[in-house]
Amino acid sequence: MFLLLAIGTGLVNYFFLDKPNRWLLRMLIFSFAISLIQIHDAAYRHNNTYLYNLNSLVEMSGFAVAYWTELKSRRNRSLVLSGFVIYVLVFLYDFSWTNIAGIALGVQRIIMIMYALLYFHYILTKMQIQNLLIHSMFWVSAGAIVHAAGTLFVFLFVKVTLGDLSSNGSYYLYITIVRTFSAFFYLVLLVSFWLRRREFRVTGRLTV
Amino acid sequence: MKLYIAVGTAVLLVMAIFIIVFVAYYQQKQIRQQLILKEWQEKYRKGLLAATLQAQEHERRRIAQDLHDEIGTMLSVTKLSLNQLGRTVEHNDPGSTVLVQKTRSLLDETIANVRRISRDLVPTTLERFGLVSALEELAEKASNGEVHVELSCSDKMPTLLPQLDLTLFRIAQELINNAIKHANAENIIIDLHCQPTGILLSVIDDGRGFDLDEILKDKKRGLGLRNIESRLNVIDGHVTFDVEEGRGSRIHIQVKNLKPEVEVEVEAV
Ligand SMILES: Nc1ncnc2c1ncn2[C@@H]1O[C@H](COP(=O)(O)OP(=O)(O)OP(=O)(O)O)[C@@H](O)[C@H]1O
Ligand SMILES: [Mg+2]
Repeated sequence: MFLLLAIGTGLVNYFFLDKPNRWLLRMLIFSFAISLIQIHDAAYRHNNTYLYNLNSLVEMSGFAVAYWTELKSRRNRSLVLSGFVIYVLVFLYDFSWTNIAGIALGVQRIIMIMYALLYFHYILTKMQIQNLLIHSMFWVSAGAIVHAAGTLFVFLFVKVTLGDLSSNGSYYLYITIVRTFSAFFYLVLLVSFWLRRREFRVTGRLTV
Repeated sequence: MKLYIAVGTAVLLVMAIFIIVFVAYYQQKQIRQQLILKEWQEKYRKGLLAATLQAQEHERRRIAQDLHDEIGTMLSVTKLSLNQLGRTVEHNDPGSTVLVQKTRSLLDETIANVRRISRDLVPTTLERFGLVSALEELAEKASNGEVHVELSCSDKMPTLLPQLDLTLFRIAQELINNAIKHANAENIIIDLHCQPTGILLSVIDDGRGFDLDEILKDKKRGLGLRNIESRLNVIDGHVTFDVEEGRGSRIHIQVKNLKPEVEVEVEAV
């Protein structure tokens, strides 16, 4: 639901988006496609957990590209890249069609946190952004870090949390937590797309 | 186990939020500090420029005084003794009279030159009668058979700060010099205009114009235009070049009038 809204705003503001935000938007569209399939599968009572894993891959790729384009220094880029490579390795190792790849998703969270921290570090050392509070990448990073921190343990201990459907309702509790954080994150992305538009206007006016 | 997960998540979340808040706060603080530093640097640079310009004026004044008082006096004395010499020579050696006459006229010319130079160095008219009179005088002096310089100004000119006066005068001087030297202009108009927000000084010529970008790129260019910019920098003024190759140039100077009346009154009391 929020995902859809975020995509909508992203598309509306597409013209104003800079490169990293455009990549995030593409990622969202992929995520959306995956969740459509998910709903479809669920409706037909197919197994759809592998889609969580795929979605994670898509998210991670989107993030890696977005931060790759935003962080310009070579050191930061190599960190982004190595994070992504580690993730892909774990993903390949841990991927399964029938279970949620908890480790891979956990590693994804950790690397997302790492990216966000890297970006914060970049902000603090570069000092080029005049008004941080309307800078969209800052909000993306903040959203990502909260999202990742909130769901990290749920996925790391996936056996306990999402492992057995039978246990008294804990699966639904945790999946709700995950969904809430995802929704929150999409909401943040939505806001950041709008901010990007505003930022674009402000900087545009300054340069005229 | 579940408890651990919950606690771990909560701790992580708190940490995440803390980090975000910290980054935002710290960054804003840094930015503010940077701004203050920049402002300070700007002020310092302006102060330095102002001091340099003032020193320049000072030096000019000193040179003008020395020129007038020492060389001028010496020349007058020399003329006196030359007159005496002339009288003796007329009696004894009428053949050398022509030579004496020639020397005298050379001396007269030198005296006139020294007077002119010492007067040009310090804009006396500006100090005594204000900007409009000084510009009038400038226009009059610059006009000759080939160029015609005209001053047009709005009737009611407010009194300006002495520094503003001087800056505008020096700029006008340089612009007119340029128009005469480079533009081959026939008519030059100095337009002095009082606006509610400040003063607008325009120098308009009908010469051959120039390409501003090319001039700015030229590393060996003269100091004139650069000096104009640094002078304006000190008083927060603006210069607009409406110039193009092949047509006359229009150069506009805009400065804020800092409401000097109040300050002057305070000083006068
Ligand atoms: N009114 C003008 N018309 C045509 N060309 C001009 C005019 N004003 C300036 N220029 C060009 O711009 C150049 C730079 O002018 P500027 O006053 O900076 O230096 P300058 O007059 O050559 O030397 P200086 O002023 O230091 O004696 C000049 O060499 C001239 O080619
Ligand atoms: Mg010049």
